[in-house]
Amino acid sequence: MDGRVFMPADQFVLKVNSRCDLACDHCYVYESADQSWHGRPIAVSPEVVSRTAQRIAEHVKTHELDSVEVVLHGGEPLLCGVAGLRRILGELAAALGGLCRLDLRVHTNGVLLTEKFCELFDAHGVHVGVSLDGDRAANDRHRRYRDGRSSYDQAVRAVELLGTDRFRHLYAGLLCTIDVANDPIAVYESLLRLSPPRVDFLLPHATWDSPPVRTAASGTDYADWLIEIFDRWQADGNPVGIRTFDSIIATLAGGQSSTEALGLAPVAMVVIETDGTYEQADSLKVTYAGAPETGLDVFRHSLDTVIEHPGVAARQRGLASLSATCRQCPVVTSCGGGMYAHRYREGSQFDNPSVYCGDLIKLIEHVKDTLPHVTPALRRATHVISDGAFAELAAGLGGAEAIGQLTQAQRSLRRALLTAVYHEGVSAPAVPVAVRERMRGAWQVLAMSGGDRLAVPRALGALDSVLGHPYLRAWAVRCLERLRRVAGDGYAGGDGQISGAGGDGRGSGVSLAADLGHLGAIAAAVAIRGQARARVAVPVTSGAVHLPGLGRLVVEPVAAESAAVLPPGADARWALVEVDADWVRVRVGANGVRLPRPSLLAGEPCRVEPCEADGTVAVSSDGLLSSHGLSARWEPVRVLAAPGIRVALEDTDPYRDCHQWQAAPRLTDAEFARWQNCFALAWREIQANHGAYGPALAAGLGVLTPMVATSAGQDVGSAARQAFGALAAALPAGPVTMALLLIQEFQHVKLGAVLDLFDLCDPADKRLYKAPWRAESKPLEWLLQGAYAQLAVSEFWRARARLGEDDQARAARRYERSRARTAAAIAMLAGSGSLTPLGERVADQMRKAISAERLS
Amino acid sequence: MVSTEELRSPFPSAIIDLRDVPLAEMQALGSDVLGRAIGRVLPDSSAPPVPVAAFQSSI
Repeated sequence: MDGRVFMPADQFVLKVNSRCDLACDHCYVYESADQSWHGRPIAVSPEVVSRTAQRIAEHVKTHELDSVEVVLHGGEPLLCGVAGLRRILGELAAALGGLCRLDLRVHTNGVLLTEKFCELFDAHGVHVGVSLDGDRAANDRHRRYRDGRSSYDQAVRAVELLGTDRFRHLYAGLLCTIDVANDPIAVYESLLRLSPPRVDFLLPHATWDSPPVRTAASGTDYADWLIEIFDRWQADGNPVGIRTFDSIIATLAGGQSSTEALGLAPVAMVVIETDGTYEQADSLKVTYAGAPETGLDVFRHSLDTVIEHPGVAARQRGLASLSATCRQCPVVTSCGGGMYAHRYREGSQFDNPSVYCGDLIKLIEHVKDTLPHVTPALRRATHVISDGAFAELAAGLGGAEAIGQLTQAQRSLRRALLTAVYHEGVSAPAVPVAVRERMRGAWQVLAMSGGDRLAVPRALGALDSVLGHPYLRAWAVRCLERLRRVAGDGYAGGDGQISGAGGDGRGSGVSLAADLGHLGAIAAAVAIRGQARARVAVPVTSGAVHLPGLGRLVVEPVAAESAAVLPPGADARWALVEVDADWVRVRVGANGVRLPRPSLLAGEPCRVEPCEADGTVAVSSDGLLSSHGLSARWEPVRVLAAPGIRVALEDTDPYRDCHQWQAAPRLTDAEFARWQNCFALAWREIQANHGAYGPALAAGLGVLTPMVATSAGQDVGSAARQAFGALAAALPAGPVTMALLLIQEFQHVKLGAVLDLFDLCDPADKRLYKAPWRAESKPLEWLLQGAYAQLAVSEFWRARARLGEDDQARAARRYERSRARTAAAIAMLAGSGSLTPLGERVADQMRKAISAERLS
Repeated sequence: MVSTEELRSPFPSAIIDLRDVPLAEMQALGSDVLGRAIGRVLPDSSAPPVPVAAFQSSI
């Protein structure tokens, strides 16, 4: 056993041109020990492209690959010209387009990039990476034409072209080769100014026989250089993905590196030269003449044969392929021995640590010390539910302790979701630059004032409070689903505002830009609750600026002039929210209003004032305050209260419309009073007659959302899987019905949270099941959800029937019907053969509970 | 506050405990780690593919 995991290739580097229009003196292709480029065709031939495409297709079929990545590389690939690249891309698309997802990339020095190239790349979905070593001084140190001219202006022009709205979605990022003579912060800042979606800093290729330039007394010049950038990157709140840092952090946390330069993951890459020969990693050119060769080519050999080649196999053996020194090193899972080529020394060949070993250890240790939470993040316990709590929940009940355990797991989920929205939002090429910048501004507020480990408890409490809002998860999931749908589909939509459903609709008209911009609203709410200063952009959706959990400021621009003078980061469809100790200022366009922060926090109806310099004010008959061009009205989230329970009546949140029926618009004061009255009486009914369900509701129900009543006047209630802690309902006819709706729908909330933690049904069972209470058939998990809710319905009517009140007979009939349905559903679940052991335990507890119920 | 360390369950859940990881460090966990953390919430749309030991000279 050699420790090798056979891994099919899924990344192919196709050398389409073996020459370059620059003469960079640090280039590994032309300035290294291997000079094989001299004897190769300048451009790849149609025959080589065709055979390469066929070989990849053959490999995809053999190994049933879902996706492959093809990188057009050189030399300089743009030397093929637009027509040449069109033929190559057409050939690849024809051979692979219907077989698997084809991730096409090109890496260029940029100097030849034009709109024509970009249009071609757009047509084929080719992402473009550019080499740039920093600012002009840094870049000109190596990246020059053969006659010594600078390439900086041309490269920057190319990057700026990629940064335009038209081509932004093609912009993959920047590669910067390190020269420790350059100022690292100047390099970092200059690259950041070009708004790349991703950056990487590459160690210049070197071996023990040809070591890197070093001048520092520390002997770790490259670590010192990268650490300066890492610290600044951390201080900036990680404004851009930096592949080296991301990979170190990911590997420290038990994940995967995203570069061959780090980590122990097997290499699954094959290089195809312009003459059709297969090569190992082309970085091996720096070791010795002929090092990358395999002796194989696309005309005679399959890709499986290449993977079997000893040189490729050596890079798929993980830890087993490393030197004895590396195998015993505490940071080996992160560094992975470094770049394979960097281990080379004549004699011992690759059986050495990297020539950058000292740098890698120092950098990785620094990252580990700086981010102490990263390493243990995935090694410590996952969330669990205690035996006692699980037994209660399985029986259809569960008290405050059980709900508390479910709530804690939701906290982890929401933090991960919030972070994923930011991480994927600012990394997605399809997201406009302005939106990314707004997201970065919001994240700075969240990460630095609301969630930093040095933050005061008040700030941490503010973050938890805002993240605890049920619709934060609904928003995050919506954003992630949309981001993943638009990946590869181009522009994600303008900075637009909501466009449908009369401002309180189901949100389908909200642009992705506005959805992502809601991160600013979350940050503003955290700042307000945490008494931190902040300045963030917040989208105006449904004609309002929303502050989740607090309420919304309805704004109606009445003068077109407001769009004429816009502060940076704001326009007619975005508001700028500024928070300080006393006030929350909201500016839309050139005008603004302010609200007293204490009143916002107290949930009080509060006065809206003009910002200090905005002149005269008038209050219109409908309560809107007008300040020059801006009218505004604050609508706070109101609270339904009864002894032992407080629940927010949510009729402002733009993401509340995730339930089965349509959310109702903002309630009038009179309507709210009816809800309050009904809720208080319903709670009294629960406390008096269904006390076993009270503690869970008091502990876990945070939000009640009014829905539009159906035309038939039926009682409707709803829970949403992505909104733990929220229920929605149309105002029922009376408190008993509301009590039933609360109990029944909260069953779905509880079980949904359990299903977030555990598989109760075999996900492989695709059969549909017909529940005793519905005409249609649905998956097993749906049947489980229904049975779990019916268990509580049955118990509810049993309790009502035993009261001996006017509706006793009706309650008894309903009890018998619910009990029969529940028992039948539990029998179907048990007989499905598709419950997991834990699912069987739930079904068993439910069966015992229903069996124990007696009417008298 | 519920301490997960004090509890015992017959089946450990798939949800990693991230409650006290500062947000700034959460972001640095990367899409691979975050993808695993939220995989049960978005089961049908896994995180964007992360190349395994990907070619260094392109991005």
